[in-house]
Amino acid sequence: MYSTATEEQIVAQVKQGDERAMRWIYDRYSSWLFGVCRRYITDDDDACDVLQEAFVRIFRNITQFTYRGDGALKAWMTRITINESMRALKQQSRRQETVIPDNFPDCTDDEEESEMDVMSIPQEVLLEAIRNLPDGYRSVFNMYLFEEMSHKEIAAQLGISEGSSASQYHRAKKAIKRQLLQYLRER
Amino acid sequence: MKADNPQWITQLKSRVNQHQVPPPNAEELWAAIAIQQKSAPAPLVPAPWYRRPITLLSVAAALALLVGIGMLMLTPDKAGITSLSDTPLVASIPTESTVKTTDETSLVEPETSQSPARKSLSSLQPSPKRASTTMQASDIIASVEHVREQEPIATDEVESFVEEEGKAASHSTPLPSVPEETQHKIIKHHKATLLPEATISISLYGNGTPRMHRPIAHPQEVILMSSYSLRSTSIEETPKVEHDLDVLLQKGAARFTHKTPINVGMQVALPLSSRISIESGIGYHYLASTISGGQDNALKGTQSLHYIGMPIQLSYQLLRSNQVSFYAQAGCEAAVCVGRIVLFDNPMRAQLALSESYKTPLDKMQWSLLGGFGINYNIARSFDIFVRPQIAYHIDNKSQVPSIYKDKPFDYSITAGLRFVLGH
Repeated sequence: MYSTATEEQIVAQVKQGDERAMRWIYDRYSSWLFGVCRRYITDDDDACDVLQEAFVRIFRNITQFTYRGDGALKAWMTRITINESMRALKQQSRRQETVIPDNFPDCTDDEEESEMDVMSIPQEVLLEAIRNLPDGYRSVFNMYLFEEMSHKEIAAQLGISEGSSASQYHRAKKAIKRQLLQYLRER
Repeated sequence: MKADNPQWITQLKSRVNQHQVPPPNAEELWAAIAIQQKSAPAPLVPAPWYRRPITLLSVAAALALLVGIGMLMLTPDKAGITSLSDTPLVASIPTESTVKTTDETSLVEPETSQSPARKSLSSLQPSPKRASTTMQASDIIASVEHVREQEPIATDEVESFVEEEGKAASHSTPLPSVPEETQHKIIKHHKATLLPEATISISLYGNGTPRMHRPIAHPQEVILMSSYSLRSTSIEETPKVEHDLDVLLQKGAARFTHKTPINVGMQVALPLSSRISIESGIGYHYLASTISGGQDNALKGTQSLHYIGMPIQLSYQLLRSNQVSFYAQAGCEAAVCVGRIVLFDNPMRAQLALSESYKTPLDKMQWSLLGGFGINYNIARSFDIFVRPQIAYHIDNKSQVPSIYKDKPFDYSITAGLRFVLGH
């Protein structure tokens, strides 16, 4: 039935409480949204819980969603999933200002200047490099790079200073590069 | 974005963005979601605006107000005429004072110690409701004394004024043709209207509130107008010549200097689509002007106009981010003049309109075309703050009431306020 329906029509069905339409959305977007969860939540079981909460929230609030063309639903669902991930992170750690661990990977100036071929690195390794970051760094990195939020917006959402957000992003970037360079050397 | 990012970061973003992982135990997860979804309370679907009591009440109140104003506008205009019969009582004078005022000359008699008018004034007690619009009796008395010391010309001027009119006997002539009973009645009438008749400007209030009269600013007005009232009352059969105040002002070469209009109001926005919304509401406009000119530039006064307007505008959202949006807006507004107050500081010197009864008509319905661009900042759900530079063109309504809308039909303004958006 839904193979020929447009996304807008399916959203309308979901607003009417149609469970099959909900299932269609779940099938279509659960993989994407689980990937988003995994960027923020390092434990896969926790990521599943977050995904479940995110879907429940999505279906409960679908009436507030206004369809504005292709990609609108995906973006809206992604935003809800990120919010749920952030809420879960807060509950887990009652986050304070992130403290850099002693063994925090960092790269030298020479390494920082060098380029590397990321396209040859498997996606799972790239994701793992992000997931290895401390919670605060990871959140800032994800929000800045993938969600394209400004440091001001990140600072407001995480309750940190704008400078701290920029600093954490820079450090996260260096830490990821160090890990990826190490992977490339050891491969 | 992120132009400072090296290439490897861009590649990383691209690769990770393509990464999709099916959740483990997807079916179980869906079952859990479905159960949780079913056990959840029904989604809160916002009721359409026409089913919300507060919105309905707001609309009903606005309509009732507009209908009420319209009905008042359609009723015959009596309020604008300076008449004795419909002027409310605003002061009480003891009987002994009334008896003394039977001597008309006393009203303009410069002998202050024996002046019944002064005694009458001294006994004036502004009613509580009028306390805000009338001066205290002590102030009036002080002013009377002050003027009599400085300008003892009232008697002559009034006398000549009365003679020019030729409608009544001079002030030294008693009222022999009027029976004593009638005379007493007239005097009582005069007593009752002493304060309001002392004003030469009548305010019209379309909203049905009690008419307000200007505070007595100059005692010579009290004397002069009291005398005038008595005289015109004593010849009740004499038909009044009613002119529009605006005609008299034009004859007197009055000049109007307009102040910046003040507009306040409330608007409701109803979204028609994701970008287009319609806005309407109710607004209040206050226009103030100073009046000058006349013979020897002696004319000084003020005019204030009060309008209730109903704008209706279409709004198109040009740009939108998370909290900020830019929009263009165009529409029109119909404004009904509900009040006009004209006050003169020195009516005697200006010799304006004292010889005849006059009325102050309200302005006609004012139509305006509106357009502008605005910036909207969302401070809470359904609650925005906006700043809107706006131009307006006020269409000539062919009335003779001077206002800034007629002298400067193009109007540039900056509107700022809060907006509550319905129909999300």
